[in-house]
Amino acid sequence: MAYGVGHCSCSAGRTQDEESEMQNDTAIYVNGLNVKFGGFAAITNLTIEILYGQTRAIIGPNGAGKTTFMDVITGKTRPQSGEVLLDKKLDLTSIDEPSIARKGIGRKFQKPSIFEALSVEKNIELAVRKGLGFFAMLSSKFSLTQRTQINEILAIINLENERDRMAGTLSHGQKQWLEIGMLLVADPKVILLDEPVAGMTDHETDKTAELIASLRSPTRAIVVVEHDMDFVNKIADIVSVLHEGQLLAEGSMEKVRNDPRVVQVYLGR
Amino acid sequence: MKRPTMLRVLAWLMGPLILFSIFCMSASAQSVSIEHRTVVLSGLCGDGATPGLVLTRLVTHALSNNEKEQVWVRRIITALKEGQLICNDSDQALINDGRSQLNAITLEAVLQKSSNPPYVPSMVIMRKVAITSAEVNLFSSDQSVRREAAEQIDKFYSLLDASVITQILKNEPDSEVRSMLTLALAKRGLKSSDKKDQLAAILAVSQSPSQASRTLLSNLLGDKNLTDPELKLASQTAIRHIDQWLLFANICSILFSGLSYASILLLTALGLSVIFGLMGVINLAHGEFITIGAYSTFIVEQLMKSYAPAYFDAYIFVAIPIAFCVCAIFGMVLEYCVIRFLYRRPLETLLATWAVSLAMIKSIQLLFGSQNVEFINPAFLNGGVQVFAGFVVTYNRVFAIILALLIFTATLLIIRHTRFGLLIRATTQLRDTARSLGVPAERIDRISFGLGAGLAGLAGVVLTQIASVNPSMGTSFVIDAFMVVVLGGAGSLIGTAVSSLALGEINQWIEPLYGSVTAKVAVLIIIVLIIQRRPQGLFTSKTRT
Amino acid sequence: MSFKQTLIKRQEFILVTVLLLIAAYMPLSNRFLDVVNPFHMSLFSINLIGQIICFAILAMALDFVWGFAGILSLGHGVFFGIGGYVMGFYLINASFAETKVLPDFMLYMGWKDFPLFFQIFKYLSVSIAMAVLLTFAIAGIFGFATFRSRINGVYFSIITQALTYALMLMLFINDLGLGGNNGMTGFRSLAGYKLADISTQIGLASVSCIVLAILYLLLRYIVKSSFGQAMIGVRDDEARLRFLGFRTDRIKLFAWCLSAAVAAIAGLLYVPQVGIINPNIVSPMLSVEIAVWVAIGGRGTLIGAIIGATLVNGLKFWLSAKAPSVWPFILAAVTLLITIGLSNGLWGGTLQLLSRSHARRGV
Repeated sequence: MAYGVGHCSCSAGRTQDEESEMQNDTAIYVNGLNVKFGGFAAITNLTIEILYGQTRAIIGPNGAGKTTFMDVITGKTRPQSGEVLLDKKLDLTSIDEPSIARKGIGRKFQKPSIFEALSVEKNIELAVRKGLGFFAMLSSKFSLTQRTQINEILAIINLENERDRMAGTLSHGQKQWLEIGMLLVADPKVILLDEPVAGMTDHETDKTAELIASLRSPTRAIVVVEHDMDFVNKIADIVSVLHEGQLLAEGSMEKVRNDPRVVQVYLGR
Repeated sequence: MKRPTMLRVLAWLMGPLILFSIFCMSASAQSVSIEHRTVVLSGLCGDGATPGLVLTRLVTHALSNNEKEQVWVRRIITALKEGQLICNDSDQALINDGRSQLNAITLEAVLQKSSNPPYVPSMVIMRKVAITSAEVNLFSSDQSVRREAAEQIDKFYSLLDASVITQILKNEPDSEVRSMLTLALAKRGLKSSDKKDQLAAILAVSQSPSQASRTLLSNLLGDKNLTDPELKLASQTAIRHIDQWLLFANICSILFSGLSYASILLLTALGLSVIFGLMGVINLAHGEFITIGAYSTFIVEQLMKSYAPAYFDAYIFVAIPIAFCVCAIFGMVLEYCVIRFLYRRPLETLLATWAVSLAMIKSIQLLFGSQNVEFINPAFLNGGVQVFAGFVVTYNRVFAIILALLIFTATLLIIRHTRFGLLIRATTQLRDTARSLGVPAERIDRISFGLGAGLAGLAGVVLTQIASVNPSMGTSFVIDAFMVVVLGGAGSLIGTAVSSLALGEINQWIEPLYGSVTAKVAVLIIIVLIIQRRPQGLFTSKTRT
Repeated sequence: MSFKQTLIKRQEFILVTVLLLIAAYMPLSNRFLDVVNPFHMSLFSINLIGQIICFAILAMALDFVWGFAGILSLGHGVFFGIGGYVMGFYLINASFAETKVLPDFMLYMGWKDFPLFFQIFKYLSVSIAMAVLLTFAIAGIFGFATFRSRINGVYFSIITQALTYALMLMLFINDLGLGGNNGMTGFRSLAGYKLADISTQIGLASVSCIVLAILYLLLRYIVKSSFGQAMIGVRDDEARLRFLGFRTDRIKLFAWCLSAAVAAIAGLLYVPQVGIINPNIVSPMLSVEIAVWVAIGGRGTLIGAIIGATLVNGLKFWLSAKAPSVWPFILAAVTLLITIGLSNGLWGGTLQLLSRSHARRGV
């Protein structure tokens, strides 16, 4: 699999200066987050800060609130209280999902969400945003830059030779990669990956780890929710452990692994 | 032989004594009443006859006496009206009973028949006779007779006897009769030249509010001859009072008809709420289950008319379980043949049930013809009662309301508190988990669908008393029913009830002002607006997804 | 390329050619072939074809918004009816210009002159434009309200049924000056051509074929563009599309309005060929039937809708004459079969069969 460039030659409209400024800045800032569903408290008083250039893993038992956390960031769920900010200035709880996506936050779902009735190439084409107007969308032509971008992405996710296949016929692992490819088209500032290697073979898992590692960039924050500890070990800089909606521990994989509370939660009872 | 006890002796003695005294008393009472009657009829025949006074006395006699006397008074008046009265040579009044002649006082046949011609009262007296007859009829126990009598009195208000009517009014139970009599009295009072009488009349009219009394007063106000400011003020005040009362009656009427419409909505939407709400199945054939229920009722009605006419009025109660079973069976068959292949494919279910509804409507048309089916309401559902002026409550609608509440409560109890209801809820919420726990999901589906269809059938039964019944009656109810479920929240029975009530009332409030079509459109717009805020309906369960 | 592949790849070309051939054949066969000639087409059959073509346009409009964007409208009869009624207004105006006599339903109401809103529709081009604009506006308002609040799926379908029902009730009111329950009829001429003339009727049928071809090409083009892909995205996984940054409610709104306008055009063409317009055209049952045509033909292919509408309505006309009581049962049976058994519809199933032996190709 090709070691893709950290980010493709497409540009999300950011200048060189902006990009150098972004390094080590806060991408996602969550403070005192509270999310309740009816009487059930999914997240309680959660505070997390994710910086650009980082790859953060969020782990925890089922029901800990990991997916809910991503739902809040992408606008799918609104919290009862708490701050959720992009770049420490944009309030993510006040705008809807398409707007959040346009701000540069891309999310990959737990279940591969691609368009099975379209071909692989058309899936990627769809993700290429051609502007707001219908008349732009009414043509099926892409500019040279866009074409190059599409080809690059297809290469990165190793589906160049499958570009005309119906996406529904891909294997599970390939579907996951296709989805990641669709996210990459927009050169997102923040990538949220929800269990990217669930259901994959060992081989596919390794390849995915390579892919995600190659996505690392000083202008990009990567957040991964996973259960596979080896995988997390390979890709993550910092690991946050959630348990029953609260932050249990945070730090390097090493530190977290040896934290007695974490051990108790995972192995105790 | 045993010696008879003292008590027995006394009883033997007292018995006949008591009987004898009763006999004497009635005899004397009879003789007393004969005396009274003679007094009443005096002046009927002979020179210086004063038939008018006789009539007045006749009414007073009927007023103050028992039923026997009232019957006698009626007989005399009938005789007068029919030209059966004869005055014989001794100035005695005789009644020509066809073959024989009766003594007017005793009503016994006389030996000596008179050959005089029958007594023909003058025109004036005839009018008075009419009023007297009406006044006497006011003592009848039959409400419709009294109503007719009140109408007569209203027509000839200028001739009525005010004191008599006032006394009758005190004891009259029926509000409609009361209002007519009050109006008649008032009209008479208004014609009087005495201002006190007129003021009293205005007051009396305002106490008996109705559209008719309002017209009376506004006519009075519009009369150019009315110059007295005190009278004017009294009339205006009276009109204002009546208007308030009429407004109140109108509001009650609308509330009631809203409740009635809501009950129909609830009945038709309840089955849909079970099927769509709990099972997620769109059944466009729901209206046809309503129709089947109605036609089942028709068959029951016809059968009972032919084979058990004595119990005809109970046909509606017999129809209830029968229609439920028939529709439930149809529903289960439909589920088995069509629906079970289409779970989780709501749009296909929609089209498939549409096809079924098409076939069902045509079948019913071929079997029963496409014209409206006429129903004879059971006697206890006919007519209604006027609670007060302007507000009439019809029994068939009360029946619908009561039945709707009963059926709703029963369904709620079944779903919430029985094991069966629990199984339904489990199967619809988490099918596979339920199955792994041993719940026979397919059977539960079938039975739930049958339940929903049966409920629709019950709606059909009730609708036979209110709406017109024809093969395509279902289509007009199904859209409304869906709207109710959409607004109330699929899966919530309480939501269905609340939204039925809301939509029923809203519709009835708008309809008299803007027409039924505008009401329907307005309701639709309201629903869309509410759904905007709460896309899942008013009552929903909060889940993570 | 094998014949099968040619058929699939060139379906647009084939369809348009067929339509244009029909458009040409009808007038020619009627004019130049003898009545006894088996290839002669009578006015009756031509008129029938014209009406069926209008239904095909209507079905295609629904397929565009249902098969591709996943919006099942059970109220397309509303837009069809709007087009029809506007054409009715125009035709009434045209008749009046000729006879100087008001139509019956206005005379019954005691009117001496046309009401103001009628007079707008004096010219054909204005009327056509008004029909399209009006439909766009109504569809736009309704769509905006519903899509914005994320009313989807079956809830949306039910609400469209209610809308249809409300409009039908409104049209039944005699006082509105729209003909009431009898509708409007007595049309005499259209743009100077007498409607009673054979040539006018044949011309209308041919024009319908051509319009169908043009609209088909237009919709097909849109469907193959990026917008079309987005519509398919909306249908299959709207949430995904939103998370990719697409404003899905706007996509739905545009597709919905366009579909409504096409349906209105179908109505415009339909009324002069059938000679009458009444509220039954807006009945809830008919609007569901449109979806049945599309389902039977196969949704998501445009051609399937055309085939479905043609087959069902052709059968209906044929059987209504022979055995009117049987038709509802046949339609019900066919619908059940398709929904339970052949969910791709007839054309969709055919396409699947044809392309089974080859590697799957994207749309």
